Formats: sequence, structure tokens, C-alpha cells
Amino acid sequence: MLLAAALVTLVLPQPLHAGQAVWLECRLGVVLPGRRVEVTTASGHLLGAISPHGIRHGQAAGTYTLPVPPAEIAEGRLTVRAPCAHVRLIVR
Amino acid sequence: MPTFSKSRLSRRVFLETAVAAGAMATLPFAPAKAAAKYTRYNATSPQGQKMLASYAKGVEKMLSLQATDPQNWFRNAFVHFLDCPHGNWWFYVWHRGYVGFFEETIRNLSGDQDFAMPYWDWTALPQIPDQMFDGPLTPTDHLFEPYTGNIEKFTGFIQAPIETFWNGLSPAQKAQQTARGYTSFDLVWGDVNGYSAAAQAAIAGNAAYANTCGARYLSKDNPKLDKDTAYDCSKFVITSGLLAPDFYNANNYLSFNSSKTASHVIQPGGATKFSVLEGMPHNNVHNYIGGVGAIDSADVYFQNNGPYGNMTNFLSPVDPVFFLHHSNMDRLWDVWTRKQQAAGQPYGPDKADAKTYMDEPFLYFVNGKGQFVGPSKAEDYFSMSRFDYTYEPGSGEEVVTDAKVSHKTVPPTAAKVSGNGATVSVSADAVKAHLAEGSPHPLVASVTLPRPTGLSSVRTFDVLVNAPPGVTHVDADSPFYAGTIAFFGPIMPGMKMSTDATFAVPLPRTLHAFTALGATAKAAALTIRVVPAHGGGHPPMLKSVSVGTL
Repeated sequence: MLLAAALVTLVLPQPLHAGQAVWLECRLGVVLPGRRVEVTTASGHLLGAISPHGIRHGQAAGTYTLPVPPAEIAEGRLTVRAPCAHVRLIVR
Repeated sequence: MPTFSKSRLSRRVFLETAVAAGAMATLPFAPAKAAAKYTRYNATSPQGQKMLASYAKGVEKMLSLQATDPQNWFRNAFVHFLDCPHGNWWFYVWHRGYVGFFEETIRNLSGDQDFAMPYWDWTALPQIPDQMFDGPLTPTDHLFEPYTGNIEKFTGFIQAPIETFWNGLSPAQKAQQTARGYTSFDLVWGDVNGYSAAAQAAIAGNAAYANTCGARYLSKDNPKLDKDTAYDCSKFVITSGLLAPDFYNANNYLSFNSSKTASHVIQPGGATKFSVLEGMPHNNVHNYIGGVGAIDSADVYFQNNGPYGNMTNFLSPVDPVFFLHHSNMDRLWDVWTRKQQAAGQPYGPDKADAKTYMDEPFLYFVNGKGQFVGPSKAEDYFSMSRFDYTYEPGSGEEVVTDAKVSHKTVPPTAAKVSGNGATVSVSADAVKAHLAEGSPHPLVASVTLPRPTGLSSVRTFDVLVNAPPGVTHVDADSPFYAGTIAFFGPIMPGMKMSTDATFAVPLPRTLHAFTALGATAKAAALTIRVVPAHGGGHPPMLKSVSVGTL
């Protein structure tokens, strides 16, 4: 099953130039067995499905980075539904 | 930029990789590929299909061996259970050793002396290959029934031999198990049958054991990865993962490997930073095949999910598709390595880390003759030459070609420096690569300047390109603004600090210097100036400036 979350709007830490890549970094808390964390844009476009593997029972599930298609960025912002303990955008 | 320590590699490994890197710069094909004795084919190719037939013979033979035999099918899976690394930077190299020895076993037991483990390219084919649903290639087949028909059968068959093996572990092996969290055999077996000492109950979702009929969620009638898993395997995601510039970087989007840990046996947890390829396609393919996300209750308060199939946990090698999946992960490591070689970039741990990484002991492997390998280390498996194989090209290969093109044609150019300014002419080829659609290679200015002294309060500087004379301050959206560089903190007199620092400043494609060139790429004359970011204070005296591509 998938976990649900509220929408959150993130601002790019710096202007996005052609040829640069955008990443969404997600730090998860404890994810119960069988749960998958689905990260989508506000319009429902999938950015990644995090399925913790090899995590000892009861431990937090770690940090993951999801590549973000540049077309999903509008006016330097990205609105996502990300059921994570902490999320941030990275530009490189 | 980290460098690959030659001194910490064996002469054999270093010579091979150095020769391959040098040769690839001038030849259309890497000679190492042609010279390899074995080829791992795509499982859907005619050669791959032939390999799968041999694989099935080998699996059936391994199933028939006694549980006391190290080559028994389930005993082989327990090597992974006790020793596998996940979420750390030994993930790729350990699995290369594990798959390599397993490949030798199948070669010997199947009688196919050309056998090499085929790979499942889930980017090109987001469903389990058809042949993997036939006979011994699926853990739901009746051949598995005598061993995994129920937990009593499984326990009766293999618990005692595994406990005997456990009792015979060397002190070094025992120390690794303690680090893994296994201080007794009861704790080991509790993770097999899902028994929780704290709850004093078996929890289905925690069990590594899976019974025959529930060993794999996907079937011949339902072979496809779901949309979430397929996305994690998509070309966009794997290409993003392959473009990681470093073998290891604390920022995981820059790192080909996951976290650096004290030992490969440390299991992942809250501090783990997963690389893109391990955290997304690797994990999700494992779990989805085992039923995660598909068989669970929709009730968020219903926490006792499962039981899951084999691929969700550390007994995942019970499912034969494990080895096709990990052959593909290993192939992607090879693609990344060749991309780095083609670009002239490091493809191993940096000098400070090389000994730690290469000396990590792997103590559980069994070779193709059924003999314990004994103490070996990560260095032994860093090169594919240990098992003498290569790969039929698959998804992601284009990153190697792109790397070759850019680095052949665009060398960095040194600028003429005067005061806080520098002038340089950038070639038309470099400008073309910089402005290319699809896979651009951005121009980057490398700026070296002295750290501000204690008398200066300026720590932050703007980098301007072709700004009109007299302009000393621009906003970030200006067509003359390339970036801001900053020193962190003042000089510490008691601390060893370098007095100079070099900053890499990617040059925006929207700079007036480039847009003014028009549609046809031409050489660009750049005048770079470094000024205090907020208008006040003295400009720095630059030491050197050069401009090149990433």
C-alpha cells in the first residue's frame, strides 16, 4: 500500500539553467513493512516510488534522491505530495 | 576532485583498468570487452534464452543437493542472508563477487562451460522475462515444494545444517555477525521465521522464509512491474543515476554509491543515504516482485502485513530472478565505470578512502567447486577480470558515448589574469557543447583567489561575465551574473588552512556572452570579473582563472 501526504510547495535554492538537473531529496522515518512511499507532483505525475529494502524492523528507512524532470518546475517552484520526514530540492 | 589511488590497488587491477581507459580514448571498442572469456547477455536475446536453459539445469541440480552441501540452492541464499551489504558503498562490489561465484557454480553444475549469467534489462522490459516462470526458474514451482511447502518442511530441511555452520564460524566471521546484530543463532533464525522475541510472536511481514505458493507475487499471467516500479526503472531515472560524477560523495545525488559505513555488514537505517540506482530501481524491483505494495491491507492501522515473497528480504536469492536482477545492477556499474574512464574521470574511491574500501573482508563466499573461498576482500572483486566476463550492451550505454564525445573535443583554457579580472577566448566547439540540447556539457569557470585576510570583512563575491565597464554590482537575474562564491568563516591562525581557494562556477547558458552569439555557435570572448557581492569592500586579486566543460 502507499502512504498519503499533504501537498507541499518547494522553492528551487537557485535559478535553474539549461542543462542542469533537479533532485528531490527525501528523508524517511520508520516505514512499516509493506509500505511504499509514492512521491508525486500536485497534478499526480509520479516522481518516484520508494520501497525500503533491507531495513531492520523499526529503523528509519534512510534518505533517497529522486530525479525531477525540469518540465515539472514552474516559476522556480515544485509542488509535491511527499510523505517524508524531510524534503528539499537540489539543483546541479 | 577525488583521485583513484593507484597505490592501494593491486598491480593487476590497476594495469588492467589503466590500459582499458587509455585504449578506450582512441579505439571505437574497448579491448577488454573483446578479450573477456564470457559474455553476459540480455535475457531476452537468443543467446540469453540459451543461457536461461542452462541456468534452469543448474538450479535443479542445486535444489537436489543435501542441505549440508555449500552449493545447495538454499545454502547459497544463506550466504546473502548472513553477509549481504545494502545501503552502503560495498553494495556493488560484494554482489559482483556473490554473482560471480554463483555463475561458476551454475557453469559447473549445468555442464554448459560457456555459461554466463544473463541480465534482466528492466528499463527496456518492465516485466519478468517469460522463461523465468518456467520450472526451476520460479520459486513457486513444484520442485521447491519439498523444501518450502511450509515452515516445518523448511526448518526440518535446513535449520540444523545452518546452525552447524554457525557454530563453526571463525572469530572474524563471528565479529562480523555481532556487528550485523546477530549475537546468537536464535536471532538469526528469528529473522528467518519472523519470530520477534519482543512481541513473543511470529510476525508474517518480518519472515524471510516464504512458502512455495507465495514465493513470488508476479506470475506468467501477471508479469508486469506496476507503474511506480517501472518509473523507477525508466531511462530518465537510470540515466540520472549513471551521471553521478563520483564513486562516493556524501551528497547522494553526486554519488554512484550509497553511504560510507564502518563495515559492509551494517544494515541500513535512518542515517543511510541511498544512491539513485540502489534506492530506486534496485529496491523497488526486489520488493514489488515479492508483493510489497500489492498484497497489503489498505487499512493503515492494520500493521501485520505480509507474508511476502522471497525477493523482499535477505533470502531473496531463493528466487532465481535475483541473479538476473543483480546481473543488471552489475552491468550498470560497468556502464558507469566506462563512462568515467571515457571522460578521464576517477572511477574508484579517493586516495584517503581506498585502503578502507579495498581491504574490507568478505568471508562467506563459496566458489564454483563448492569450496569456501576463505578470507577475501573487496579489492578482489573491483574488476570484472576476476570472473572474466563482459556484457552485451543494454540500457544506459549512451552515457559512455556522450562522455567520450565531450572530453575529446573541449579542453579547458587558461585565462589572462589582471587584478580582479580575467579574459579568455572559448572555442566554438566548447560553446557548441555548452549550448547543446539534450546532453549539454556546461562551461565552468575555475576561479582561484586568496582567502580574505583578517583585515577584510568581505567573504562573498559575485562573478560577472562581460559586464559593461564600471558595473560593480548586478542582480542574480542579470545576463551578466554567473554566480556567487563565498568563503566560510575567517582565517583561523591556529589551524592549518590553505591561503588560496578555487571555486567552480558553472556559466549560465543565458549569459549575454552566449545569447549575443546568435544561432550559430562561435568562439566566445569572455571577460570575467570578481567583485564584492554587496557592493562594498575591496575586489580580490585573482590568482588564476580557466574555463572548461564538465
